[in-house]
Formats: sequence, structure tokens, C-alpha cells
Amino acid sequence: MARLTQIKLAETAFDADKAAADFRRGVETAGAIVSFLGQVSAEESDNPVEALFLDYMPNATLASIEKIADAAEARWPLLKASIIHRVGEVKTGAPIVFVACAARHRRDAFEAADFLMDFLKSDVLLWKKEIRSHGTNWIEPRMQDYTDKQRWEVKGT
Amino acid sequence: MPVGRQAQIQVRFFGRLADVIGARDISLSDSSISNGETLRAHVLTLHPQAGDVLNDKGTRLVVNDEIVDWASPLSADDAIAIIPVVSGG
Repeated sequence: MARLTQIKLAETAFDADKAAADFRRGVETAGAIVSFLGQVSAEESDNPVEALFLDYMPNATLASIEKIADAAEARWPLLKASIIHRVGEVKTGAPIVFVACAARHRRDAFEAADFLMDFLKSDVLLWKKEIRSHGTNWIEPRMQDYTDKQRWEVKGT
Repeated sequence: MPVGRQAQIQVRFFGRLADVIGARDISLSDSSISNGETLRAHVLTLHPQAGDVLNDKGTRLVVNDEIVDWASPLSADDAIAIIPVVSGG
């Protein structure tokens, strides 16, 4: 069965409002649409993050996102889903990830979007570097990302 | 074509590994490189400063866009990459 999730790796800035409006087209009668927007967060610091640089492998990174989308589609009865992920340099305050899920019922849309974000945070082939006022720093995976993902393990398997 | 004395293999690096190697790509020609393990040992000899990342258990070998076992045989025609542990999206 063809994948219904639209996936895009964006090398330049994307318009999150337009992404949400575009997503709604074709699913105007869905009972529930859940969307999530992740932005590069600012912080109070003497050496604040000015941007993130996301390194990626075009084909393999896309394939790693497709695998996550396929898992969500197999688990929830979605009508449509969308994932847009920035790569390259993303300034503080700019959108970095957009996820939307449409379903007949809200619980399916909420859970699928939550699942997609948890796996995007842990399994996708991306490497993030903080670009600070003074210096750079590659981001290590966080234990929280793994525990978030574990919430979705099916008991008894 | 198996990796042989005349064959060149291209290896790409990503994330912090590209930084510590100091290059996105390197080209190697060595008949002793037959699989991922011998490739890793060769890269380590050339770039000992990358030892911590190369030897990290989360560092993986990618051949033709698929993550494979380090024991996998390599061909000069393969698209080969070594990737550090991902930080996710």
C-alpha cells in the first residue's frame, strides 16, 4: 500500500502556517487534525545558541524517516500525515520540524503525532551541531529521547 | 569490483566524525581493505585523532545507504560512509 505520509527534508526555511494550511487541504472533513511545530529554542546564556546545523545523508536520512512514518501508519488509522524536517543551518526561533496527522478520531491523531516526534528525536539519521556565539558543539543523544521512545513499546513483545 | 591494489574506495563521514577527520570524503587505496573492520582500522591509522569516535560502539558503517555490520565485505563500487551516533531530529 502506498505511503500516505508526505515527507520532506527542507534545505531552506519553510513557512509553518502554510504547511498547516496545505495539510488541511484534502482532509477538511477529518474529525481530527493534530499538528506540531518544533523551533530552535533560545536560551539565557553568556554563550547562547545562535543556530543549529543539521548534517544528513540525503537518501539514508529520508529512508530513516520513511521507516518511522510506515510504523505510524501501521499502528493508527490515519487519513493523512506530513513530516517536514529542516536540514542545514537553522537559526534560533526558526521552525525545525513540522508534523501533522489527520484521523477520524482525536486520540489516533494525537498519539500518531506524539509517536512520530518521539521517533524523529531518537532514530532519524541526523547530526546536530550547536553554533554558539563562541564555538560549536555536536549534540549527543539524550537519555530522555530513548525513554520517550520506550513509551511506545507494545507490552508482551 | 572487489577492493584491490589498484582500486580506490571513497569513504564519507558525517556529523562530528567529519569534523575530527577534517574532511567529508577521503579516497583510499589499499589491498588490505576488504570489509568494514579493515576499513575502520585503516582510517584509524590515517586519522588517530578520530579514535574515540571511530571506536565508539554507536558508530556505524553504511553501505549503499543501508546500515550494515562492520564485518560486511566492501567493493570499490560501493557508496561507503561511517556515521557516528545520531543526535536525532
